[in-house]
Amino acid sequence: MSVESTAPGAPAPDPDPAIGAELKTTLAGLADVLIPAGEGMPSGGEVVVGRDALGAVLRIRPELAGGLHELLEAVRGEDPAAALGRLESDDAAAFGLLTTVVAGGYFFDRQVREALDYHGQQAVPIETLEPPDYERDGLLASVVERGPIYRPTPPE
Amino acid sequence: MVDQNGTADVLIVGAGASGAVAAKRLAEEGFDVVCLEQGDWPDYSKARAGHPDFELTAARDWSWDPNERAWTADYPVDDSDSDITALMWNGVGGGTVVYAAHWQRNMPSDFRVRSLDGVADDWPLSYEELEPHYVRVERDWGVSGLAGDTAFPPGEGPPMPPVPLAEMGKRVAKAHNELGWHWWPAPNAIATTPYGRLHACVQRATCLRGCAEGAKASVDLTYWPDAVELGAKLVTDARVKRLEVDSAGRVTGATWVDADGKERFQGAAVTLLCANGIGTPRLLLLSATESQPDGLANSSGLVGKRLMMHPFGTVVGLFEDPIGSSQGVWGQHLHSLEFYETDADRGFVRGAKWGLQPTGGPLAMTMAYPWGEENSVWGPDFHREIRRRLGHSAMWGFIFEDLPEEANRVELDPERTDSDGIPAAKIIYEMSENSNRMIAFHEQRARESLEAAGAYDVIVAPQIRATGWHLLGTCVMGDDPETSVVDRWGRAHDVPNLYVFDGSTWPTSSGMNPTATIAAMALRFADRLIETRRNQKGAS
Repeated sequence: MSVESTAPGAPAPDPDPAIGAELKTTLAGLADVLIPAGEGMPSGGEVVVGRDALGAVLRIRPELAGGLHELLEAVRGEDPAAALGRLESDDAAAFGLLTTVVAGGYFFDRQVREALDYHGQQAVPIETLEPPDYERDGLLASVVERGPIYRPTPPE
Repeated sequence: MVDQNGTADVLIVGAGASGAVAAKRLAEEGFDVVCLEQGDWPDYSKARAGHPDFELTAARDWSWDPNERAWTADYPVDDSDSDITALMWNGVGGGTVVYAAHWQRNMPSDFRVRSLDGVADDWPLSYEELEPHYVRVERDWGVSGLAGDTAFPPGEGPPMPPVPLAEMGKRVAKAHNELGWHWWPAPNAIATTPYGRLHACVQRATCLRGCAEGAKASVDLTYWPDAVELGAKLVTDARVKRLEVDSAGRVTGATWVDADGKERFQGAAVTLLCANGIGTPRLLLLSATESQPDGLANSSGLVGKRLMMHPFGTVVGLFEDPIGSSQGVWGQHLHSLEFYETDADRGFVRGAKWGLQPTGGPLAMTMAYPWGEENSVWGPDFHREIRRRLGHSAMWGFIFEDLPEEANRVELDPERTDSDGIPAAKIIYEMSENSNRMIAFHEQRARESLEAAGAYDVIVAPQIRATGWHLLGTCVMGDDPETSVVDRWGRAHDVPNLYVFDGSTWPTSSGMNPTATIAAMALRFADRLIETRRNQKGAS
């Protein structure tokens, strides 16, 4: 499993046990339509259900479990593409919840992040450059040459 | 009721930008200051910038919308009759906890809108009068930037060097030079070097969701520790219910509710309201008396009127090669004020400030904003679209000036209350035709800017409601008691020991992020209070 472990300090209860195997299959079907496999990347279902990114998401965002369960129950047995079309047009909140879980789980997966060459919001200390970047190639000098652009305070 | 802190020299309601500046300045001068803040200190253990769960948790733990958060410290704001949703942070630090830290002074013309453009009102002070306060507050606050910006009169600049232009900034700067358009290294309330209590920024581009590094200058990190060390008392989880008034019409202090629901009283000789453009008029309306049935300090009828919230816009450019735009400051790398001043040929008055920003991590690439529902990533093109956006996109964000209109207003909600049973706020706000024309013009110019910078595709973000970060104008400042709520020093015309120090006092909104001017104005007001302390009339 390549999914990151729960972040330090975050609560780590079991994922909602009500999202059982059948609903996970439903979720995988939806996730595969939202994020199909291709261009060297796995599908949404493979990552979110197959690699259990869902478990990680629900440990971090346990408040999403109830709504997710409800929407999966509502679309169980439907054609995934048709169900997604209906959700997107009729129930923006449910569609938003679903895409947060699917894409949130997908991009939480270490292999996916590495394949995207995305390594999180990294620390990049500010370098002191001499001359500063804004002075190179006459960048700022050009602005100064164009002169003031403000309207001064008019006399009383 | 318990008055645990005795009668203070000064009571401040609200621990955001203006309250913090006032508390520190007054405590420096030996005033006995008590601040009542309805929320608590920010919990930075939830600022997850360096962790893989950042994008999953940020919108939940650092939401800007009080209705969405619905935390105990929040009060509902009914925005069903508003084109824009009001955003705020109710806790120590106020909006500075989640602001983008764009530190924009107003320009000289912002103080002379009536004189120069024939609309709205002039401010009862000039840029030149406020400029020394900008300089002082920028040193205290911790601001980075570069003096000499050609959009402002010459003068002293911020104390720290500017943030890097980054690759996106270099491209846009070069393009603007070719177009002959203004740009300048952006002013930000972000430390680029260790500064006072602030650490140097490490460019994680997470400023809007609680700075995990302690590099963004929010007043919970900067002003409040100093103010408390100087003797100011900051009481958290303290929700003010109403201001109390004596028989002479002076405010004696505030009745407030503690975390256990117990009602208390804080007495003070002078009271300062620093609760933002919705919270401040809400409190004045809640404090109506038999002799002032329309709300305290409201003989003009203007308390709550003239609400301005700054329509906001975004235009994104996509670049073929990587520009590192998942990182940076957010914040702004550079700003442009090329189209800030009025040009009558454009079909509207006033203008907007542009700030160049990164676009964030992969989850942000899937969102309806700024990308637009018509550009949905879901389905067969998902991977191509994510790779097109992630690290390859830069965006201009615009602050559009909205003009004051009395129909845009804050009222007490006749039905809903906060968790202590105090009437909530309701806002009524309609975007004007002037704003709509301004938005269309600027979005087209921004498209030209990004195309000149090499963008092969440009996306104009949809107008959405959840952009009301700036809450201004609802207790307008002026010299005439019939047409203003407070005087040029923030003092209520009707109540000689009651002041408004926050952005409620603004006669016009400017097209700038307002924190710099809110802070400078609070410092100016506080200085005046200190100078005139011997003449100040307290409660009987």
